[in-house]
Amino acid sequence: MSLERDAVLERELEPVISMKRVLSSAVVAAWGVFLILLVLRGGARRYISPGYIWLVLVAGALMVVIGAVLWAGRKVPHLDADSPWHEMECRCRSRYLPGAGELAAIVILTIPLVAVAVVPAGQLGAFAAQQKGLTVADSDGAGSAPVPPDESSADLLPSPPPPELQGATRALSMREIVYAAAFERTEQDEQIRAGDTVSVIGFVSRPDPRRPEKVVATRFLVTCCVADAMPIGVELRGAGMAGLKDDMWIKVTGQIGWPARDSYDITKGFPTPWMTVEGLEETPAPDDIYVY
Amino acid sequence: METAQLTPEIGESQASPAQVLWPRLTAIGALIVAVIATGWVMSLRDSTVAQTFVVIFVSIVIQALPFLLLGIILATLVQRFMNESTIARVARLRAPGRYAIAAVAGVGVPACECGSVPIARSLADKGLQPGVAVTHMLAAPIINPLVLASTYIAFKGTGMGWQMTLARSGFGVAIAIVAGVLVEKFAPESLRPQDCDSHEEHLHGARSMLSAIGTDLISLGKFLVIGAAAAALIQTLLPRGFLLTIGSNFVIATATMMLLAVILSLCSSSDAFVAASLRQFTPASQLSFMLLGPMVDLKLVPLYSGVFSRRVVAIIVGTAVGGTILSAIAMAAVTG
Repeated sequence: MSLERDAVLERELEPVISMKRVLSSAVVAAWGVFLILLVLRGGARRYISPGYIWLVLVAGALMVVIGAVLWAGRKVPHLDADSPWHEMECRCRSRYLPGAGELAAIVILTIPLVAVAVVPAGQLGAFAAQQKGLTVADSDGAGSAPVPPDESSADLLPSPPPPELQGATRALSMREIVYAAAFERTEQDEQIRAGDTVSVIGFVSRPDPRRPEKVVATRFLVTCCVADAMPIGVELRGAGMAGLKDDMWIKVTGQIGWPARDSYDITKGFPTPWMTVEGLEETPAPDDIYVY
Repeated sequence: METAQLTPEIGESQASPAQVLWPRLTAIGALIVAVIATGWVMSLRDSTVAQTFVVIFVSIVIQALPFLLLGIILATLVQRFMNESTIARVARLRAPGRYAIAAVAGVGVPACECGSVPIARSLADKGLQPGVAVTHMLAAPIINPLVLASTYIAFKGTGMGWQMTLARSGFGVAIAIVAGVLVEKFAPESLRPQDCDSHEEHLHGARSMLSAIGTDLISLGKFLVIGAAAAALIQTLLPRGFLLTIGSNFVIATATMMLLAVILSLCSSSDAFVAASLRQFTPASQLSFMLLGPMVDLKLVPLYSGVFSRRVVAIIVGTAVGGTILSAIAMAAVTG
């Protein structure tokens, strides 16, 4: 009798069953497809560090498989009244209709997908840099008057750059410059000195919106995902800085500088390096928006 | 004819009119909310605030989802393949032994904090005392090899690589054990009733396992999304720069770092790099950031509440906060 009842139940409620199955499998598979496309189209680097991308790809593939399995459905066994699961079965509204909780879960899970579809080009910029705050210490002291270019050159270390670097402009990454300000070396152990002429790419941000002349060429350093992004940058010193628009990507060339070693406590934070700007041009955003 | 007799019976036992109507009304309501929300977001699509929120929100979900999936897969494997007598042997051990084993077993779990939540539920389902499962859940994200290595590498440059790694794992395990003991003592009814489909986990075969994984992913994924949204909202609207300028005094620095850990909701495999970069903070307050973050943050608390009772969640939060403060004081006494 129970077998007959099950057979009838399956047949009678089949159209209802598919509603639950379709919604569950659709949301899981949609996430899987989204993750795979994100990786294959190169968009994943806008959200997470490249080191984790393979994990996202594997997760995406698995979710597509899981979505397909949910779509195909599964055999729901008949539960006897003395089955330990029977009480739970009865407490649930139905094993065929999606309950309010399940529907809510499915809707909630689609929200990030909708958000990405609606705001596709989201990236951290000047606003986020201001909100997150530069994690390196402010070299000329928070709230003090901006240092004019001619005064700033007096802060440079007196040692001249080595002859092989004189006259040469070295293209450095923001990470290298910030590292150099603390250690006077690149991470590849090449020497950099205050006074060297370098070029670097970053976007325009302002630590304090009330001081439009104080501009920092900024990049975000991402360790794991954008949630842990930290702004790093070089303060730009020179005329005309107030006219630069926030979020504009620029390539700046000039002499770099940083405070003398004995003028700050490194345990309180890295100093913010500065640059006496000699050349500035607008440039397209780099392929990698963030530094990893 | 037989069908005609059976159908009303089935209709009564499976779905009354109200039971059929309610999900449909909910679906329509959810759809209306989704349409309104989409329209609202559309109107904000060019706003910097909305773009910043979306990118942080989605990045937290994308980063945590693979780990949640990994945790659910491991949990399902535990459910299906782990010998109940092995768990029973651990469960029968005297109190210090079973907590110590549960905590140290975290070394073998390559999952971050999101993944350890379903594993803990699975262990509790298999007969491990929920308190012991909580100890495992809290300890695993702090002492797994990935996290230990990243902590050492992050602090190597400051000359405190070993001290930080040892302090983090030692204090982390201690807090996890205390929380587990408290859960066992004060929250005997600690597991939340399971979702409707979870009974299918007892079925065999790869297909039913994948199906159960999918159901769990939907069930726990919603908590991850809610938590990520809360973390992204606060990150977008609260100027962190302000918090970072007040970090010199021990009490304020520790409180600030604990608050940041909760708000940022970082993965435990990466939080050490962020802590190490905040050099204006003392080692003790950096430690507090790395201890509290993997146990309590805006994405974890909703996840916990999907699995455990409110009382258990309260015990976990209370113990983690209290334990972190005591650990920071001990660290400050040593490092000055």
